[in-house]
Amino acid sequence: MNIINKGLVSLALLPKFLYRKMGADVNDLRLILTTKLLIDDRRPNTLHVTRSRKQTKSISLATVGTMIISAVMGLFFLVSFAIGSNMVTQMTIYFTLFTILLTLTLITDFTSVLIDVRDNQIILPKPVTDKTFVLARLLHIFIHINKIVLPMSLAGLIFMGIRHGAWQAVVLLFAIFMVTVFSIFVINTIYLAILRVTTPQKFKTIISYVQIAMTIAIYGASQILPRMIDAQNFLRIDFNNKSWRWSVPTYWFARGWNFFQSLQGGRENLAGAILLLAVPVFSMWIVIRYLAPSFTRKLATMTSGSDGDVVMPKQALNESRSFWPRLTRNLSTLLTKSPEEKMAFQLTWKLTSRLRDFKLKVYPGIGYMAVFIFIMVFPNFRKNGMPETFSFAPGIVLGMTYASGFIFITSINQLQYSESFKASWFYLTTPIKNPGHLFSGALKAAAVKLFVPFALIASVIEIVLYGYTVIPNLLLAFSNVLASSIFISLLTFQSLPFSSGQTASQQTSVMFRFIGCSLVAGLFGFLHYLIFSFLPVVIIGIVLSLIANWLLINTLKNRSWSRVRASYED
Amino acid sequence: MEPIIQLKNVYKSYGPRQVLKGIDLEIYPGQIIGYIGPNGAGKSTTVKILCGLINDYEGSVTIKGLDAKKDILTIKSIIGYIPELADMYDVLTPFEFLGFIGQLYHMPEELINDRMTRILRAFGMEENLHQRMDTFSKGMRQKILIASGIMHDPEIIILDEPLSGLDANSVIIIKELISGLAKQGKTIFYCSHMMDIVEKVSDRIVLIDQGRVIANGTFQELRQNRGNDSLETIFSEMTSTESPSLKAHDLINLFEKAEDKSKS
Repeated sequence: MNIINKGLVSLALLPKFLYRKMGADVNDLRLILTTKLLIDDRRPNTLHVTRSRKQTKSISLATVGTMIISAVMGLFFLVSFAIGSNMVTQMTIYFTLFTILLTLTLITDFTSVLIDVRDNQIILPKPVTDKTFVLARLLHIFIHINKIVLPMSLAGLIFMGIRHGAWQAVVLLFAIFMVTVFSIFVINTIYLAILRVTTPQKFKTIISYVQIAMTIAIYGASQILPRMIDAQNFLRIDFNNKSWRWSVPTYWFARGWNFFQSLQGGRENLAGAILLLAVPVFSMWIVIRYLAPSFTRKLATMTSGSDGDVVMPKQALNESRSFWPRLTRNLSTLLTKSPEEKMAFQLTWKLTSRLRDFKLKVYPGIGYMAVFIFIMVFPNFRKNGMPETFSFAPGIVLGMTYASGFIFITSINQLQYSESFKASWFYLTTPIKNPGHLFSGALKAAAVKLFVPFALIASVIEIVLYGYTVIPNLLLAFSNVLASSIFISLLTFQSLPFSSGQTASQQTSVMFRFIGCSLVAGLFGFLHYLIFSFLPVVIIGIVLSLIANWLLINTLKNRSWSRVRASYED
Repeated sequence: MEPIIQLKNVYKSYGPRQVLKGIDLEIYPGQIIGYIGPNGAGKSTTVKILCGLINDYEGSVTIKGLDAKKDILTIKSIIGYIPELADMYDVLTPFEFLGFIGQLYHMPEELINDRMTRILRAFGMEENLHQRMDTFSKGMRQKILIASGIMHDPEIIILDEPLSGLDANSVIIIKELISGLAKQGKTIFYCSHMMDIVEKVSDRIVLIDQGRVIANGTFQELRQNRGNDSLETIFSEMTSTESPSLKAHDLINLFEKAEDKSKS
């Protein structure tokens, strides 16, 4: 076990006396905790990609990566101290950022740890007391949270110590501890709320949607909110004047911090101090008494689905006749020629909607794209509303149109990969003559599903804003996006769709491929920019681009088995 | 009669480790071959060669007179492969998964739908046709794998431990299915560790150990040659240097000694 984990285990096991009094076996606790942490360190981490399969170093890159990213987030929180006219406002902003990013990090990175209950099968049949088992789970969570919280609070503590003094930093550390406890309560509540509205089997899917939504929301808010807010007023903002201030829990904590750091203050500071102490303690009590046991029970039903005699809800409905499957079938019949191509089209259509890892890697891009387009169209957007006129410039039109291919380009870089890559054995046992048709089918599905809708939305917006004269340029831009994507696919597609596991080096190559594809599309875009106003040249460009598309897709379709990386794994 | 599957002097190595050391085998149409051997004997490698998953072997493999290295696509279309608890894209439904497999065998859509419905009905899973497979038990998944291997009506069916995770009723269905398909003239290559079932369903049993065929004949022939009643005993005698019951006794003694020590 690495030195960080060793230190945290020792810290977690400090109140041995208390644990023994609670009925837990401390030796068992230590053994379970060290094993869990060893497993965690060998688990891939969503926060970073620099992970290799063969771990040789004692401090795994997973631990270090998590801690470095958390420390960087902590540095970013220092922005709070540049905003606001007083310390209470600044601390409110600090605690708000802290709570949001801690919750987000824990949901994205920690969910897999939290909902992995495979250890139940190993530990529960052994003579380990229930108290030890539950306590091991809680301490495991505590250790993992500390790997995030300690580096995340480091910058704030140093800043506070230098600027205001050691006592203020100690009070901040205490307040951060309380904020963390409160965040755990928030996460548990979110999980249970999700489990209440859905089945445990769909829990992971819903969590992934929450992750995607939060990523989009945070990115969108970071881009759009500063544009909506008048910078001068924002820098002088004072929450103490706002009537809604007590509805924000992080304001209570800021008031509480203010009370303890000065050990004086009026009624409001005292109320904040009481809330800072009472709310986290009360919320922890709710977590231990109600939320955690309820969550564990729900988790138990999640795992029972794999082996046991599960009673299935019977579905009499013939889903194959409903709208979406029919649409997929009709589109695949229309756009593909061979059965292999059709199969790959339909498989890609389904899996891109259902594979969690694909969705997590691709769909947050929708947020980036929407924000990018919004900023391009409304560069002077302010809180007072929409601008009265829209400036027309070739750069804006082209930027928007090429940006609509962002998701498509991201998706084609992920089409080869899947966590369930071993399920691709059937490619090798069935009589597939042209593996290239599988590539082209997958690419066509991605284009129709992840490019056409955005291209249509962009077209409608641009035609409404700038008139019908932009149509030839739109067509050329869309054709160029397709051509550059197929070109990059030709260079990079080696494994059949969803048939390869993504190692660290492959994740890096995906990033380079994305950059390469963006550069090719950018080059097309630049050339397009030069001819933008010359309609006859644009029309010739459309014809040439379509021919390039036809040639490229046919080259891809003709790819033989000798150029495909395919292996069968048991 | 010409053999439908013929392996002549087949060698296969993984790096320095030689897994198959000159396998010779002739299988005739309509036969049920029980292919058995201890772990690491080379069973799965043989299966992968027959299915076209491995083609860097030495020797000759012909299936229906076709060279397995040259005519692998035609061979794949007449073979149905049923792996043991293989992974599947379990976010798909059986309707979708079997539909994709059927398309890769170039089956018409109506035929795919008809076959999958009838097979799943026989397995008592008709109402699970549109349910995502991530909610399925092991047995249900294995039934879907079996369906994927037989729905294109192959002439040769290769089963690699097909009964894993199945309940008693499903085992009876599969056993009868194997016998029935053989009666229709299909050739069955049945790879398993379950000796009692191999003993009952197989026309001929091929026992391999350390990459070589060490016994090949009907169960009656094996029994006469070895003078034993069950396939399990024959298997154990031929593949193990030490008696399994002796090994079990060693383990039992281990605990007896531990108990004695703790008492003293």
